[in-house]
Amino acid sequence: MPIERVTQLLKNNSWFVRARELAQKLPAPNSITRRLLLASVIVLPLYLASIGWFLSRSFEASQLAAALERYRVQFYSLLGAVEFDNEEIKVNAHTGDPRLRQLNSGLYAAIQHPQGEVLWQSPSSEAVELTRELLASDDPPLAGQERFEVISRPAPFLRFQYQTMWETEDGEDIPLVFTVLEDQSALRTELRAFMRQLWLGLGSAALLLTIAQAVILRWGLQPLRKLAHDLSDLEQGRRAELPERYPEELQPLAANLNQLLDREQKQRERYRNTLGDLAHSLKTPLAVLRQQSTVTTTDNALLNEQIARMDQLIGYQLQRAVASSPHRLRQKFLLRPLIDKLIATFTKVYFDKQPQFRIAIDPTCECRGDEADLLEVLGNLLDNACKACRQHIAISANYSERWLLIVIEDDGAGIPEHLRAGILQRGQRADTYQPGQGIGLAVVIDILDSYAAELDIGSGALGGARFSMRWPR
Amino acid sequence: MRLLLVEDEAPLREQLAQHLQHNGYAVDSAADGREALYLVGEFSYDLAVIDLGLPIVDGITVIRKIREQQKRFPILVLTARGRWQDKVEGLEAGGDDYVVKPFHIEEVLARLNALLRRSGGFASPLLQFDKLIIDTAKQEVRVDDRAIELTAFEYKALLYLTHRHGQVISKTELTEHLYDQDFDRDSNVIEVFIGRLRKKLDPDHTLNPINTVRGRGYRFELKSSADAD
Repeated sequence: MPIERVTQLLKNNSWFVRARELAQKLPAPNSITRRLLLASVIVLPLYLASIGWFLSRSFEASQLAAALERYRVQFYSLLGAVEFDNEEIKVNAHTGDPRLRQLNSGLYAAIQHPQGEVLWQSPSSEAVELTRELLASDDPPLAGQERFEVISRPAPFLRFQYQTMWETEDGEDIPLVFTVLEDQSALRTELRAFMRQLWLGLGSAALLLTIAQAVILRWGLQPLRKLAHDLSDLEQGRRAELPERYPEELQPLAANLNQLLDREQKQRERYRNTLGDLAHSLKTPLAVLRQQSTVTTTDNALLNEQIARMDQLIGYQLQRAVASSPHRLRQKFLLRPLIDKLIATFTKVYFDKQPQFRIAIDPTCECRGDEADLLEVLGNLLDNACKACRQHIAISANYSERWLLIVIEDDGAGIPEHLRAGILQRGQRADTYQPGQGIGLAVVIDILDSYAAELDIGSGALGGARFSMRWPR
Repeated sequence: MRLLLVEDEAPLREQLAQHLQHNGYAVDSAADGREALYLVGEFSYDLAVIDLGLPIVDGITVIRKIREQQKRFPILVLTARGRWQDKVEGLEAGGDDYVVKPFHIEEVLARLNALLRRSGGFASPLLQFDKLIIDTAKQEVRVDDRAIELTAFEYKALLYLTHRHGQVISKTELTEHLYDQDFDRDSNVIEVFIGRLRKKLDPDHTLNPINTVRGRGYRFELKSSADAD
């Protein structure tokens, strides 16, 4: 059959079409375990079914071969028992299989003339109508030949026939056809029992194999699960790099990942430095320009304004570029030392004002992220608080289930409610900020955005503004 | 007031030096950290302006080394990066205040004023010595509510004397802290200069703010009436 024809047939086969539709609808399995199990669920039954099929076929074949051998033996014992007496055939009743003498035993024998005339038939067949036509054959094998056949109609039987020449005492050769007929039901029963046992065995083997495979998969994929777990630890900041103990297939991966992490860390550092240097190299000429514009007496309002704008833009974009660097690893660090550093700074910078800080932060309070980012956020918020306050600033930090809540309050004038939303608006461009407000809060909001952190402005217990920040834990 | 200016960008350094001199400071400039540290070892300064991004030895290290040498003059940190990390590092190392580039020169001058006042131990920008009042914020001097016209240089000299009131200050020290390095150190010039200052502050000889201690130098005699702490 040409291939085209086969594919044509397959295409028109409704089962095939339905199976293909079903396969297209099924989602591709996303887990390696599921893939392997699915594959084995398909392959294993096919494999076991073909084993079962071959085994049952060969069992059947060996059954038939054994039967043939048995019939030959029957035939020879019959041949030995035949006696001619006045043209009449007599078979010694006490030879051969006892089943031949037992009525309806399932084993029958007959001796016939090639032309169809039955000369003798075993006592077992006498009451059975059916056997008579099967025992007598119109088309016997040729002389000296045997024939073995499986008959399914009108009833399942095995038939063995042999034509031989019988030499009488007169020296006359008489052709005789010996037929041995056996009811197949016994063989069938035997085969069925074998099959039942075979399928039972194969079925339980399939079950055991599937379970074993699931266990093996689980065990074999354990290192991958561990790797995933370690990676998640890494992401959460619970560890700085992957451990060195993996199976040798995964070891290069882990080593490469570690290398990548290390390189990424260094690269980030380098970016930051490069951006810092860029800021430095751009801002210094700007500073020169600004001095120049104050020195010259010509009308330079426009120049001043543009310099201020350039400065703001450079500052804003550079800080943003550094702050929102992606793939940040969330390392843990203590919050308190950071706050202490900032307070030392503000105590110097606001020397004349001498703001009083009240700090309610547990020394073990930890924060996750890039320390420089949080320093930037808190630096800007505290700077605003120092500017706004009369004397007192309160800083507190508490954990909730998902957040680290950092609250900064001052005793200044506060922020009117209608201005609060505007201050917190995201995606504002640097040059839309009013002078004085600076780029500080814009950067804060960008950093908070990149961490999915949140900032609220409200009124505090001290009478001034209250900035509450929720930083993801 | 002798000031050390450390900035690697020549145009900015020269501009700043010019402005500072114009405002009465004696300015020594350094272009890198090593030169700055050399100058700090050689001369006595009242103030320093130090950029963080310096070649050879960076600004943070310069500040740290200055503080390691137990030198306590105020340091104003210049930073281009503007990140809080840089500001905090600069102040942690021993800086006293910061200005982010690009800046207005007025801001730098105001910060320097405040730093000087603080280092003199005055908490308020208004210094009062008997009838003499110095407003360090506006850089104004009044005696008996009468405004005294002083040059920037004279103002800095008065400030230096008041910051060390009660102490004898030699002519050499005064020269060192008021004039640039290449100034011709003739003591007569200082005498003439102090005489002119006396005449402006105390034309009718009722206050006697500056006394001459024979053979040793000068002493600012008036007591701080408000808030010397």
